[in-house]
Amino acid sequence: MEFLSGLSEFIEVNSADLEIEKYNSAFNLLVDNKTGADDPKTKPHLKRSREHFQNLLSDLDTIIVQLDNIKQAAESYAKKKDPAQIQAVNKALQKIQTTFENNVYRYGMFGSYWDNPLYDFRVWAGENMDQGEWMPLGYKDTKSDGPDKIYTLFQQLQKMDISKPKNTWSPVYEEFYALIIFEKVKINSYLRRLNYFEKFNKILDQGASYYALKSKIFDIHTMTMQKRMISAAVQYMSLSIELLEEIKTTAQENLKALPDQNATTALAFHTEQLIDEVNRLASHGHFNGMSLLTGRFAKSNGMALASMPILLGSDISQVARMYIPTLTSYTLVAPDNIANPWTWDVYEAYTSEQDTSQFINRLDNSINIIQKSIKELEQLSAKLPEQDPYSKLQFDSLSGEKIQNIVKTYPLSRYKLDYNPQPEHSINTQSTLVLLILKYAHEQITAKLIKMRELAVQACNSVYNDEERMEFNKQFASLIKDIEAISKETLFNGEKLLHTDSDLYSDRNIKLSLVFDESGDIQKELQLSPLDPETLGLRESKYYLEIKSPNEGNRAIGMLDYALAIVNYNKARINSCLQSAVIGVYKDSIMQDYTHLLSSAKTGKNIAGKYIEYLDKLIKFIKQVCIKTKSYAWMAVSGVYTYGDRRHLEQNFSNLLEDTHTLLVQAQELLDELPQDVVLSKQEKSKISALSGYITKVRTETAQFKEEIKGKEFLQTGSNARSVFEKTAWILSIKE
Amino acid sequence: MHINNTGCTTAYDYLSSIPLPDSIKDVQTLKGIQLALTTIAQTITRIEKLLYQSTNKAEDRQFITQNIKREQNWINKILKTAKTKESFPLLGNQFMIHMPCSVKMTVTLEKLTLAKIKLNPEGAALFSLPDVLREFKQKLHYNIEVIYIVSVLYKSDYALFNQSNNKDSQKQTKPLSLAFFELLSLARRYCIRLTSSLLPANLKNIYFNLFLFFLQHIRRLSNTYQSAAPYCLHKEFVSITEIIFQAEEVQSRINSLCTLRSVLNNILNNPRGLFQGEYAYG
Repeated sequence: MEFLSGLSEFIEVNSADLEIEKYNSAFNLLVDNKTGADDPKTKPHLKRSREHFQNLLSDLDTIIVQLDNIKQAAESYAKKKDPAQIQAVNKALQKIQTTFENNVYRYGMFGSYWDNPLYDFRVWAGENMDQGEWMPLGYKDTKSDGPDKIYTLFQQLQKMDISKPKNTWSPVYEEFYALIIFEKVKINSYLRRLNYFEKFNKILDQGASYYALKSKIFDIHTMTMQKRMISAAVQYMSLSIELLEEIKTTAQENLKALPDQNATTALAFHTEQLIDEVNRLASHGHFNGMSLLTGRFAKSNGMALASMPILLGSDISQVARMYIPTLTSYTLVAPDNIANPWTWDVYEAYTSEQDTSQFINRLDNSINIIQKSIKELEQLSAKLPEQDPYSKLQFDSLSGEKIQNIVKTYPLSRYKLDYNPQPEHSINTQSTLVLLILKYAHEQITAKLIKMRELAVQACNSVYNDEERMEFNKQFASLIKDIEAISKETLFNGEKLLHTDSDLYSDRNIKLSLVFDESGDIQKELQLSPLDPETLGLRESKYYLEIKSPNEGNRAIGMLDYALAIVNYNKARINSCLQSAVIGVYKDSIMQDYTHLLSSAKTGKNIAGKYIEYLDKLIKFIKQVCIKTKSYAWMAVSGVYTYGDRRHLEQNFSNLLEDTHTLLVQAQELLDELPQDVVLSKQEKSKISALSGYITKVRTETAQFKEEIKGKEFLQTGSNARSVFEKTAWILSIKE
Repeated sequence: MHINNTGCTTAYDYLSSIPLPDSIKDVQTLKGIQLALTTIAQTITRIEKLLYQSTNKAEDRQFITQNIKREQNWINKILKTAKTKESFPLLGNQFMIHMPCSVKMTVTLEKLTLAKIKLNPEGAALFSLPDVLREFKQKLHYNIEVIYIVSVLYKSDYALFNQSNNKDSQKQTKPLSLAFFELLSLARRYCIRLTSSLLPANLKNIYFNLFLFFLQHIRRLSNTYQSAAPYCLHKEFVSITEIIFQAEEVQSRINSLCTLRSVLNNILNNPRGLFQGEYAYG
């Protein structure tokens, strides 16, 4: 409400003949309602920015009070010619000067004259590059880099002589007063915008955050991913509606406020800010790195750049399309009948009643369109099944649990990543432990990098001063040291696994040859990028990654993204090897049981049945692996995965296909080496020949398939994924 | 299908299920050393944890230093006092084991001494282990490995010895071979480990020598218990082990280890084929 009192002064000084009450409701809009200010989840920089603006508001109020004092003194001097009034004026001016220097300057306002870098005040919302927004205050002299307009006026005001007639000083006084009031309008509008920043961040926190998603993308089921994407889109769209509603109310207030130019300018400024926010939301409304709101998935713009297929079931024919309207101001806000929407100007539109009402109609239309789309998306989301059709395989449930017990005896605490192999551990256990140690180290490093990223985003905000930014840099340096420690201390048998200073390092990679079964058939070459700070680009000799000014933030964020990409790529390789580890355990257990059976049997008479049982078991397992392989092609049909994700799917797919082939070769060997003394009945003979026929057929197919996809990008497009899916489905349909 | 909770298959369950009578002096020695070594390993883990927890707070440092000192004293005490009943030091450099088939096996252990462990002088938590501790750990794990191999050999020998002296089971020659089967699986595992990139170069030589020791004793066992040993052991196995014994260059060692692995794969994947030649000895 203090703003309203400020407003009345504003009107009194500048246009005394206007009715004040008429505009109260208009400016009421701009009074900040502090949404989310007390929410503990609010990002610290947003909280600080809010405090910053509120402090500025109270400083401006101090200035306004002093200006009122000056006016009173001047008026009383005009009547009584009391010299004490001149002193009062000087005192008030001195107070304004002090407020400028001690407070306003400190918060970065009017900085162009005082050479304050915070003149270009930036607040950051979101997590990607350039999601910050400039919130400038003060008036830069456009003609030169000269003094700030407010400060120039203030200097003139300081020379003010109230002993002279009113018209000699009054224009300067009034202009200065008007500018101060307009600064208040700006700040209130910015405070309203901060609410939208907080809401945007909340959507990210609720599951659309790129970095939270990327760090565990393949642990999330495809169906859940799709649901999350739809829900993110719906939330973005609801936020967009909220913005449009506020623009509409502002425009309606403008109708009431016309023709007062000061009021319409203030309202137009606020509308401009909101339109900016609409565009900001449109360009940063992402899910898994994909821009959702810029019209890539729009239904009727005639030039869809990409379509978004959504999987509804186990079959790739059960696919729906997801549509999201374009949510930029170009399509939502600019009136239809204007030839070039980019030249449309809200300041101009707000001067005419007709244009404003046209604008309101346009907003109504846009809100209707978005509401309709939200309904469609909600219906689509309801159609999605809860779980993935391919996720509940025995194959998956096997993995961790068995090995967990061993891991438990080697507590991988903060830095203890060293493991010495035990003689009684199988080959598989050892390789799996290497992978788990690596996985653990990668998770730790990812967490540190994400922490650094959060700090970088924070440091990009102008609300922190250089000293505070130095504190961020200190934290950076310590986190980088932590990363270095992890890369040095991730050891297996005393050998560094993630550092360039390792015997395993050659040709810019750490090369590990891992064997997953006792006979050494299932073997994988694991190539990892070392994760020391130099390779990750976080440090060069003595120089650590630093953010010295808000502008350097983007560079730092870019570098951290690069580092995260390296870590993610390593992780994908490790995960695909972990699948081979599971296969190795299974294969060994089958072979072990089989050989124990044969070596302990007295004669071949009784074992034919058992022998066929083992073969059956092996084939069943091969089929399971094949289904798992198929599920990767299935996933690639869905639009939620990006190019990088598909690279990982390809890696998983080809690795599993290779393992399937190895298992088939093993099955063939088992058949070929059928002991001569085993006595087979007629039925058993035909069963074995059927199995043998099946194995030969599938083996040739997988061998061919392996060659076909070798070195190719076979899951990059939906149509490629579809044909790969069909091919695996066909192999699976081969009958014994 | 059975997968035990360690994630490895049942391969070594067979050997670990063989009960060794405590009354035999050598069994006591083996078990004593094993106990001493695992206790030391556990103590080392505790020390490591303490080292990683250290901060630059003075009280913390004092507390941790005291605890490390106590754990270290405990290790030194075990190293000094672990003795057999005949006050033969358990963790000395060398000792003899009398195998059930009355062959003497000379076992060489690495000498273990632990110098004083100091906290990180910079005060903060430690990022890497002190060299003293790292070297000690390497030697300790080598000793654990040696004792593991010796006890596997002892158990196989014991099983084979028992079975061949038992008239009832003499007719059932095939179950006897299970002991060999497990020994060969273990040999195969060593082949993979020795050729793997995960074994550091400085340890490869030491472990290779240990492996030679293991192979020699497998050959000796197959000679002693011919009726139970698979036929292949006397043919391909002998010839390939000869090559391994003579291999001196690293590359030729790796090559011969790879050949041995595929020979072992052939034997182990075709266990019934193992005994086709067995009747020739019968």
